[in-house]
Amino acid sequence: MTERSELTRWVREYTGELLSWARHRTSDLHTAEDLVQETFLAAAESLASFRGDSAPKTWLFGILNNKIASYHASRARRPDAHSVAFADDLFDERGHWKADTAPADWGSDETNPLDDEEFLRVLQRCLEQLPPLWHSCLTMKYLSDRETATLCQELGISVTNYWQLTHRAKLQVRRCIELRWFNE
Amino acid sequence: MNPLSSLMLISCRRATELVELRSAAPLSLADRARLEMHLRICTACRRYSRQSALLDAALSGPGAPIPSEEVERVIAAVNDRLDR
Repeated sequence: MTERSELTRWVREYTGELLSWARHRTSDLHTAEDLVQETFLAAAESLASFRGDSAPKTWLFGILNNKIASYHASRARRPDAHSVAFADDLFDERGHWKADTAPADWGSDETNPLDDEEFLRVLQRCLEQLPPLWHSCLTMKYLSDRETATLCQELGISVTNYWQLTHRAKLQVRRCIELRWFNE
Repeated sequence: MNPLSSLMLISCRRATELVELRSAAPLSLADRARLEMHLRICTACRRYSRQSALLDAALSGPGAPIPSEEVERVIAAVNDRLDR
């Protein structure tokens, strides 16, 4: 009973943070909800083995990160995951920025957009628009201190391919943010 | 074009690629020199480099908060499943 009440306390205390963390890394609220629920079910099952070597929050985030990685790995194995998606070509034939795609000045010296919830929401919407595999490449990079090689293995792609997709994803998200956030 | 400048001139596509690669592992000496030279002369890529770092920080952060009614709904659902 005390174990159950401890767990109830963690559910109350950490669900919000776990949920935004998972949504930020899956760009899908329903998926995030499922993963957070599964995290607590897994925690309940292995509560006896949790020795308190780490803080409960760290432990829960560790379980959640593994579930997020599995989610991306299984999504990358879907037959349609590798279908080619074309981004707007941002560069001319010599590989230089086109006049209308060159990064604008974000003027971020005055305000830090990271403290701005609206900026994070725009980022969220831009991430949602990425082709699934590009999205997985970009977000897996920030999941934990996974080696690139491990991460590529999980996604079933080569390291070269991984960098191409991450680069394209970054270019596309940057541009999307510029169009939605700075021009509005 | 002399050999030295052809070594130093890389495209913006390549420069932005190197900016991304740099975030994971140190670049080779030659690539570092090419990127530094490119960034010195290219305002757009300098901006890209700063904005890419900003996105790295945002992407490794906790994400936007979820509305509290949504959180409450999930808390109820979790407790419900834990009691089953």
